Amino acid sequence: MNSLETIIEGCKKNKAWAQAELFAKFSDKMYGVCCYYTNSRDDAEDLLHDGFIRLFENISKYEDGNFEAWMRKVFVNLALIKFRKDKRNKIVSEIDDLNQYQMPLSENNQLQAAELMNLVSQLPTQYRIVFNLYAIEGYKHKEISVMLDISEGTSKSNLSRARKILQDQVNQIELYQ
Amino acid sequence: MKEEHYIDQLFSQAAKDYTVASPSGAWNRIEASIAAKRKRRRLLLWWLVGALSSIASLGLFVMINTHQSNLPQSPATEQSEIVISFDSAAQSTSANKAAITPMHSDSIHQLSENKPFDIDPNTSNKTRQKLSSDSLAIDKNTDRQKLAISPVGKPNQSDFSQTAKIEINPISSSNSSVITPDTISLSQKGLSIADNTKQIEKPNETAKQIEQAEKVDSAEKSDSVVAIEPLTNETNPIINGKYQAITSPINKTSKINIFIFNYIGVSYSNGNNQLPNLDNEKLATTPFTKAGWKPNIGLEMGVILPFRAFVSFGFTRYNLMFKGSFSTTDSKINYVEIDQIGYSPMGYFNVFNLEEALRSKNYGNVDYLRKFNQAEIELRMLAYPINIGYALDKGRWKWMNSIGLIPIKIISNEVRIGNKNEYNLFGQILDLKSKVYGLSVGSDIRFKTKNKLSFGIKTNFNYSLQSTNKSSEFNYKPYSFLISPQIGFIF
Repeated sequence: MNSLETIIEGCKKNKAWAQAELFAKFSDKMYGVCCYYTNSRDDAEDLLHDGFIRLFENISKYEDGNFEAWMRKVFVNLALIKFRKDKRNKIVSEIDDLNQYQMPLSENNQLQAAELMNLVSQLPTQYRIVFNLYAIEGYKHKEISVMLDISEGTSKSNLSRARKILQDQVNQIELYQ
Repeated sequence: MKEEHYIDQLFSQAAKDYTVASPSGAWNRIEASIAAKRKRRRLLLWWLVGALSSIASLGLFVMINTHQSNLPQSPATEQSEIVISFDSAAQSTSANKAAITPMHSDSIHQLSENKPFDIDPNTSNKTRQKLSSDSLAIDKNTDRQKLAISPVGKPNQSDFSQTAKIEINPISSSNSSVITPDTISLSQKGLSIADNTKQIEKPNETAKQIEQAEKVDSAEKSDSVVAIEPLTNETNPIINGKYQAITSPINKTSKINIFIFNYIGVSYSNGNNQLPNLDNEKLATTPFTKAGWKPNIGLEMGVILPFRAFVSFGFTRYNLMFKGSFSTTDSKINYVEIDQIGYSPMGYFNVFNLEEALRSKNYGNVDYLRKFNQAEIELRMLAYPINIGYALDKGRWKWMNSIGLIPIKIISNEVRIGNKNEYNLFGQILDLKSKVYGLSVGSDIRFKTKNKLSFGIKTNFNYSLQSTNKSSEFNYKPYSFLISPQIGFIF
């Protein structure tokens, strides 16, 4: 297996072998990202597909730094584009019902991580997006408000409610265990 | 606050470790999308190249035509009138009329040494004389006598030739006849009548105009008048006695023509079911019994030299396409070497995505490969033929045969393995040369319209003189046959 630098250089030259190797290396992780940013497995697959296409098209813009973080940003941005589009088309409301989508379990027996991410996936769409952006990606409320076209107050409110829901569910799991 | 922070940390850590097996077929979908995008981009690029070369051709055509339209026009196109006086004293009927001096009974005008004509008005018994090519005949049967120069055997002139008659008035007291340029029939372009203010042109001027006209005209002519020389009194506008028209065979190919053509068509490449006998046994073999048609595009430009020889160069972009069976050779093999999974007549090949394809399957590697029975190889080629040839003319048709050297660049290649209508594994032939040299034999039929725009059919056979693989274990020399409609210009 080639080093990450070699693979990236190969991808920059549009080499098919490099693209295949990059996919093999990061597809599982990126599919995980896709899963907790989307509402269904089909949407997650589409996001994975579109994300890698966009990644290969824009990989020449990557220079230095944490490649995985950069790659993750590509996928998250694409997920946000889709979220905004769905919101414009009224496919998602600001606060919809708790999602019934069950996240796929991890292959690596990371049951705890899988269970926790499964809880996230059940949050209402906008709560989930705000929580992911704030807690997992590390954005601030001001940035989130711009990214999602909502007010800072709404962002804070959504985060607070998401945390509350997650806290209750975590407590229930702990109680059960 | 503490609780909130705890929740964030908990989920942030969970997200970092969270992985989910990507769905099977995801890479195939991505790869197919990438391939489709590349194909669209490549197609766009080739169309762009084609469009730019067409625009360049058109620009050249317009530039040359504009330049030629700025040249002085042949006087033969101007209105003029000359008088042939049959009086013993030369006279003109008006100031604007040229005069030709008396025609004595023994005045025999010759247009060439062996092409005489008789313009003697006193030769009453002469009716329209049928003379040889480039001859002049006089019809004196009627009151308005006609003097005509007509090309014997070439009644249809090209659009550049001037069709007119020379009319000679009946012999009057002044014995003068009027010749109008409208009524002069010139067998060949270049024999012109001076304008209103001039007499018959001086021979050297005529020659120049003929030369210019010949540049414009590409119509097929076997002979052309290149000069008219008075046999007596060269400088006197009132020309006496005999004239001599000097003709010269003008071969169209005695001058240089530039041509440029674009073509888009299809190419067919040879199959090969002869696998090399290798000691180094690999898992899979792929003989290719079927070859396929693939599109090709190219540009050719060149120069037709005197004696109809021509040289040309250009580029051709085409793909070699092979389809054949895919089979595993040894049932005892239990592992797969992805980097050299098998071999074809062109060389060893690998696959890129076997691991991904297997990830969600319960097959072993070899079992998975045994599911497949079909393979396809595509070599993407860019060739730069440099040809010499010979052009045969028949009217506006040209038949151009050529032979030459053809450096061929192998841009890339792809191996696809799968079942009918679906390819699941993708790889590459290994150790292919980046460039091979071959032989190019071509035959083109081209039709040139009046405005130099030309159409035709191009056929070409490219044969690689070298094996495409660096390894001596493989000796595959592909050939391809190209057939394409073409459009271009012959200047």
